[in-house]
Formats: sequence, C-alpha cells, structure tokens
Amino acid sequence: MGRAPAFWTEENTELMRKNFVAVSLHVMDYDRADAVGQFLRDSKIKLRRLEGALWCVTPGGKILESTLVITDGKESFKPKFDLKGALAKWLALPEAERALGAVKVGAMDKVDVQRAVLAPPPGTLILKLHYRALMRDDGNVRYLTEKDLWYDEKGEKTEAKSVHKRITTPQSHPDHMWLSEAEWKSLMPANPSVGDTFAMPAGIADRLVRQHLNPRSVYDGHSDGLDRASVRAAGLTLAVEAVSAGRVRLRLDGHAKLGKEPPPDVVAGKIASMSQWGYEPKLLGFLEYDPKKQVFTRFDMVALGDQFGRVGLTIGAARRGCQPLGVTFELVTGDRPADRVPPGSASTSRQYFDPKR
Amino acid sequence: MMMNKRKTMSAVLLLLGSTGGLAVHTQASEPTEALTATTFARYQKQIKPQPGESRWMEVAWFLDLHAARQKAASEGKPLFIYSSGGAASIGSC
Repeated sequence: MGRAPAFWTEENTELMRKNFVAVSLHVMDYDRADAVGQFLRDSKIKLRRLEGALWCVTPGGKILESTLVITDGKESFKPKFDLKGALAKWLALPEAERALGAVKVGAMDKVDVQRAVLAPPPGTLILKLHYRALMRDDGNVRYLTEKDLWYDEKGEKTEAKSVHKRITTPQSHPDHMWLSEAEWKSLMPANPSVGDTFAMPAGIADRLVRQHLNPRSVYDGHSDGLDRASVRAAGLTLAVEAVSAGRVRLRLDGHAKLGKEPPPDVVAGKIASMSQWGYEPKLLGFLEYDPKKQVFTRFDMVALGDQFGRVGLTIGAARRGCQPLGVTFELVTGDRPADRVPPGSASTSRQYFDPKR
Repeated sequence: MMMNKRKTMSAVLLLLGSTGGLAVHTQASEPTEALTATTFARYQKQIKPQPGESRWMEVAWFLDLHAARQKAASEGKPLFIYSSGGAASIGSC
C-alpha cells in the first residue's frame, strides 16, 4: 500500500507535500535505545515486521490514522488510509496540540547507531538506481502491464494472488549504490590517456554485479546479494575516451551472466519459469571526472538484458519467456535525505562494503 | 520498426521451412536493439520513473524520525510515517 498508485493520487501527493512531514522508517527503529525508539514505543506506533504500515501522528505522538489497528491487543490491517480524514482530525485538535512550537522536540542526546539506518560514510559517492522489468513485443521493448504477469509453469494464465494484487504495479524500482571515497578514486587512472583501457577494480565490480545487478534483490528485499556461484560470467572494462584540462571522460562496457541458463521452453517463450531464474545484461556507461575539483560529475550507466524467472519487479510473478530487464545508475547530487537511503541489504546488514559471501 | 518487421518476417519464413519452432522463437527473443551509445539515452529514459508514475518519490522524505518531529513541531504539521519490513520503506524492498 505504501507505494500503490491508488494511494499516491495527484490529490494525495499534493496534500502530503503541503500539510505533512513524511518520514520513512525501518522496523529496527522501534527497538532503538534512543529518543526515536522511545517515541515509537510511547506512542504505540508498532512497526510491523512483514508488511508495511502507514500512520498519521502528531509531533507529540497522538495517532490520528493508521493502517495498523490494535483492538484489545489484537492487530488487524486496514487496507485503506484516509489521508484527508487524518488531516481533518489534525485540524480539529486544540491549538495547544498543533500550533507552531506547541510541542517541544529537543536535540537528540545519543543515537543508537547499531539499530539506526546506516548512513553513508563521509566521502561516499552515491548512485541512484532504477530497475524496470520490460517486455519485448514485436521486436520493441515496451512497458510491462499486469496482463503480462501471472503465468504458471505450463504457460497457462493464472490469477494474481490477492495478497500481492494490491501492490501489483509495474513501477520502476529504486535503490542506491555506494562507492567509498577510496573506491571511486580508484576508478580514475593517475595519468589518463585517450585509448587506455583497464578493468573495473575488482571490489567495485563484484559489488556492482552481485548486489546491484541482482534481479532477485527486489524480490527478496534485504537480500545480501548473489552468492559467487550465481555469477556464471562477468566483465567490466573502462576506457578513456577524452581528456582535457577540465574533464576526463570514461566509457564503461560490460556484461554479466547471472543465475541459470534459461531452459529451452523458456527460451522458446512457451512457459514462465517459477523455480529458476537468470539474467544476462550488457552494460554501458559514461563517466566524467573533473581533474581540478577531483570529483565525478557524471556517472551514467545502463544495464539491459534478458531475464527469466520470478522477480520482485513483477511482484513475484514471472513473465513468459526471456524478457528485458533494465537498470539505470546515475550520480546523486544535492542532500535530499531520500537519496541517502542505504543500498537494499545494507540497512540491516553492515557488510555492504565488505561482503563475506 | 522496418528492421523489426523484417526480422519477424524472417522468423515466419524460417518457421515454415524448419523442422521445429525452437530456432524461430530463439531468434525472435533476441534483443532487436542493442544497448549502444545511440540507444543509451532512450533506454535510460524508458527504465527511469515516468512523470506521475511513482508520485511517492516526489515527496521530501525524512529518514530520521527525530529530525522529522522537529520539523513537524516547528511548522505545525502532523507526521506521516511509512514503515516496511526488511529495508527502509522508500528504498529497495
């Protein structure tokens, strides 16, 4: 429900922007041994473990609306969130509860860093990623629709499972990739010359392939990334395309073969594979570096290739045959908190820069 | 598009003259337009969110509840809280 277009209408989005302060939380926030955890516990804002939930709450902690209803200790889930109604309840509160500065929120005296959402270390280069499952249709790559989903292993059309139906939408899916300062600096040769080629440093390439080209990560959510055995082949090469006083331009070319090879009936487009998956993208990227400022000013990459099997982008459904799946990468600039959301697995796992598997 | 039609026609002709459909379908499922410097921008645009597609991304989300409470209190606004299971609710899920 949290991202469903049915909720994020133009009207609700505008209401949200004008009248609310929106905050994204993680289940671990509830257990934090600091002011954040205390506020959630005192306010009985019980973060659910499996399904997302929405609340409208006063800054003092009074719940005005929620999709999680607790009655006599029993929890139930309300499928609709009445944003307008929540605002009406807020406006009906006495001035003492809602006036500017009526509630005093002091400074945090300590942060439970073990449970707080991981923040990018200083100097981190952040890339915004978008994943999208697409369809090939008469030779063209087109957008996915719900009609393209829900085939069984015999290729027969089935009904979407009701639990997934409400969030079924072929939206583009976001994530972030982090490069430590030492990592992104290692991408730039000391004396770049046009025509130079070199392999992407192994640590970055490994994380890019196993973590960020992992089509299952958006199905499993907080996956730790693919194990090494799931990478049948991968190669990422950088080439210096242009050098001037103010800019060095690099081109990235790459490929990966992940998961299993598609079974013949999947290749033939006859069935959807529910038990296996595979993804074989090509990569192309254009990076630009400012040698004077010693920063990357452009970091555009696209991965595109055939994928089969179940992925979260299709809400756990499989498309029939091998179909395109694309990923874009681009440099984050500015300081929007939303751009500092940790990479999928890193919010709970602290091994993002140093995977053990 | 013309190239695509030619490929489709080739596939049909191959089907008529072949002993099985596998080769035809294999050919038909190959990417018709590769990822190149020419197609790069188009695919980039196609994969990224389209206007109005994911309006939740247009909201200035906080990740820090305490900072959000401070802002809400100082501006006289209520909080909208979105939580999810394994990861940050507005990140990869």
